[in-house]
Amino acid sequence: MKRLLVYAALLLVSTPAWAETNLQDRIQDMESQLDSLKRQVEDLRGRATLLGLSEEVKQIKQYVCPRGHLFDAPQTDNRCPTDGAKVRERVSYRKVKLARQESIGEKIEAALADEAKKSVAVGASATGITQQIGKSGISGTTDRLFSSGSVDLFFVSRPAAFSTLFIDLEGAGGMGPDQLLGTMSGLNDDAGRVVAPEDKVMLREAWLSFEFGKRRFRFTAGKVDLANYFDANRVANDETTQFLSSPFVNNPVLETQANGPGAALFYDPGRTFYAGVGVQSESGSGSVPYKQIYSIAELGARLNWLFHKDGNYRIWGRSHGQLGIYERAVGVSVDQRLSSRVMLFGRCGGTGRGYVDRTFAWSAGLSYSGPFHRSKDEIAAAYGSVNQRTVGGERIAEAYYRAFLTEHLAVTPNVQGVFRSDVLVGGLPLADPALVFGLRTQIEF
Amino acid sequence: MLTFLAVFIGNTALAEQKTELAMGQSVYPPAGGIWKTPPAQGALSPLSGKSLKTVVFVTNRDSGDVTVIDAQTDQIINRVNLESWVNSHMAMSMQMGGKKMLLVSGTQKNVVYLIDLDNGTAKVVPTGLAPEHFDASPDGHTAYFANIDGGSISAVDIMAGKELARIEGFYEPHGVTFHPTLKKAYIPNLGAHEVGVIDTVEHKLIKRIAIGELPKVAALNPDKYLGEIQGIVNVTLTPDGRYAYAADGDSGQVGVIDTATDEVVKTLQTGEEPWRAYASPDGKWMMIPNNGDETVTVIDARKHKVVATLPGGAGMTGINYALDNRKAYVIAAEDSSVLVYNLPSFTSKKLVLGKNLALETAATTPDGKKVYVAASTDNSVYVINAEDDQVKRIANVGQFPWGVAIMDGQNYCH
Repeated sequence: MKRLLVYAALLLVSTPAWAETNLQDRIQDMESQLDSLKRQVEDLRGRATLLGLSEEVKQIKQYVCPRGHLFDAPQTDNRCPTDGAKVRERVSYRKVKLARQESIGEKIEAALADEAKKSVAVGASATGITQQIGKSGISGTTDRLFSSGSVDLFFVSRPAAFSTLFIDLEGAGGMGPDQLLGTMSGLNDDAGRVVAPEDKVMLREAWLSFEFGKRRFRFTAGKVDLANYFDANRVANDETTQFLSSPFVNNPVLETQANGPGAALFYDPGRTFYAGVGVQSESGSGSVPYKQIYSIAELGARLNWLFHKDGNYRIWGRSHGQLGIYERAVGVSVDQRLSSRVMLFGRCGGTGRGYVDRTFAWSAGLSYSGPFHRSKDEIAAAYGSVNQRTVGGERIAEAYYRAFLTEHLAVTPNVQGVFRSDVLVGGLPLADPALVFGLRTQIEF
Repeated sequence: MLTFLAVFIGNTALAEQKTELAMGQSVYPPAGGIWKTPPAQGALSPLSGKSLKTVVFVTNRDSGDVTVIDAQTDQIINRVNLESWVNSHMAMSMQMGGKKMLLVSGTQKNVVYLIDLDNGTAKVVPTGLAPEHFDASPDGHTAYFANIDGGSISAVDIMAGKELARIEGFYEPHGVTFHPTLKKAYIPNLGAHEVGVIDTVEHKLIKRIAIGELPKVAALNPDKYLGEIQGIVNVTLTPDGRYAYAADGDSGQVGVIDTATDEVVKTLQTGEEPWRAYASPDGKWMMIPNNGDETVTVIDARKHKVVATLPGGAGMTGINYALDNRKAYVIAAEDSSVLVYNLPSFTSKKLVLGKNLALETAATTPDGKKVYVAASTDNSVYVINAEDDQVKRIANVGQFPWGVAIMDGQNYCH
């Protein structure tokens, strides 16, 4: 009995200590839970804020010092606080986050619209050209205004990895001034593609391209334009955006045929040198005699030998047969950057004896990008010569200014001159010189 | 402030992991995302005795962890688990007062992790919304985390593990660049065409610098500019800290800032949609990948002149220099390849790493002999030996590896 009383007394004495420990544990546990809850609330708050955020790009007006210091509000006396220089206004853009709730429907709609963009890509390009003969030796030509134009609709899809399907539908009309002047060179390469009947829509290109061999090889086959792959040039290779005269689009002795069945294979390991070969039907038909095959090979080099500035150097050789006679030609195409804005180009090439007499052509020019603080605009000028042993020669020059009115709309006033032409039109000499003024408008999406 | 244990895998688990790796299987736990390995406190880390200069840290965005790779053996030696759904974006390892530290941004959780690599403990510091990129001050005491969604910078005391200040006034701040000697940091705004300058003593935005002049046609064609904005991704200092280069994506221009006065002393035209400038360690070159026209602009960083425009690749996300500035590796993410340029001749070749790879970021080892490239689509890191351009793959690094970091190496993130 006495022992029981002692145990009871000990139990009573020890209870507060146990209870205190228990209480401390519980407090610690609760503090821990409270910390955890606080953290979860922070986390949820962050997530909830993110869910509610929308983004919008706003156009804003800012005030900029000549040395770049930037303010959102006009400065006192319109002067920069650091050096007193005059502050100028500029329009800029800024992305802001808005706590704006978008409905689920709106989000789905936006997501669907985004997805639609990822399917077949469609592009369009429209080019309109107006040319006026300013001077020529042929009477009755200076009062004539020539209009031509082309509309291209492009479809691009990637049917499989490393492959591209490209389709170009084109409608073109108008013959350009060459229908009267009949130059050797061609003063409107865009109109040069027009075939009777005018204004019909044609399938200009339709090809499938794929890469293989660690993507070093690229093979393209279908209805192709081999001039897109060979004799390329960064300054002079596109009649819709660069020079309009044919000798400044491709070397006249390249003589690629009208777009037709063909193929091109390029090997480009991404190093200094690359090479390609191409073949194309002469007649535009898929079934042609082997003697009427146009074939071409090119070796290219990317060199930075001139003050570390990039340049492309290409040499090509081609062969084709018509009327049972083979004709061969070789040529080079060079574009070399001289400064960050100035680029030089040069081409030359000649044919051997073929179904027409030996021909030699050369051209050279310069382009200057970003004039007058307009970063997308371009000024360019070129001069070239074509000589055919039996017919004679012709010199041609062109200068243009390509001005962007919007991102998608550019206008290009240009002037072309034909000098020392031996070409006779209706038994009369062309002129010395003949001058043609033009205006090209291009819309591209 | 919250504290939790960064769970390190013990030696036993490592042995198992190696076995699994050899079998080509996933090293990840089935569900739940977090390793259930008991917390390993104290000196269990296999990093003890290793210099951080020979350790590669890879942040894995989808598995919420950081993989540790020994750069001498190219073996995975450890894994630092953070939390599930944390979307860790970038890591930085540093030695501070004898301590090995790892800083990681937990973008999705709006926190940053300051991990003591010696004892495996971490401090978790709440920040603004979506901290992605960051930089540490030259003395190693402070780190600035750019909260891209919050439009703010969180200044964090690394040792105390607390946010000192939250600096507002930015538009999608995409990075942080501390000046090595002047007490300031440069903040690029991806959502605007300007750079912010922070006084790193007061933690205050003290200047804003306009970069790039949008073409006048912008006013006539607002759709493009009101639809999306591509401002400034990063401010890159010349190695001597004298100038800062800031490329503006929409204008296709790079502004050269004199860091003494914070004035734009020159504006250079690049290709279309320039990403950012990468400085060669010898201070001679600044190379800028232009994703719009797939070219690379080369600038003489001493004369501030564009000296070359090289053919580039698709989706270029970074440039790493190697072999004492004799080589530059340009990651072409959408080409699954790396373009290798020999300097100063700028001859190049393409190094195809695989098929359908999304290459993200890369780090060069301090000796410049190896480049580690993270590939998010196949959960791998590719190691390029700069001497012979041989490539080795480290598989099963983590889920969606993104940022790669080596102490004193050439690191960047995007």
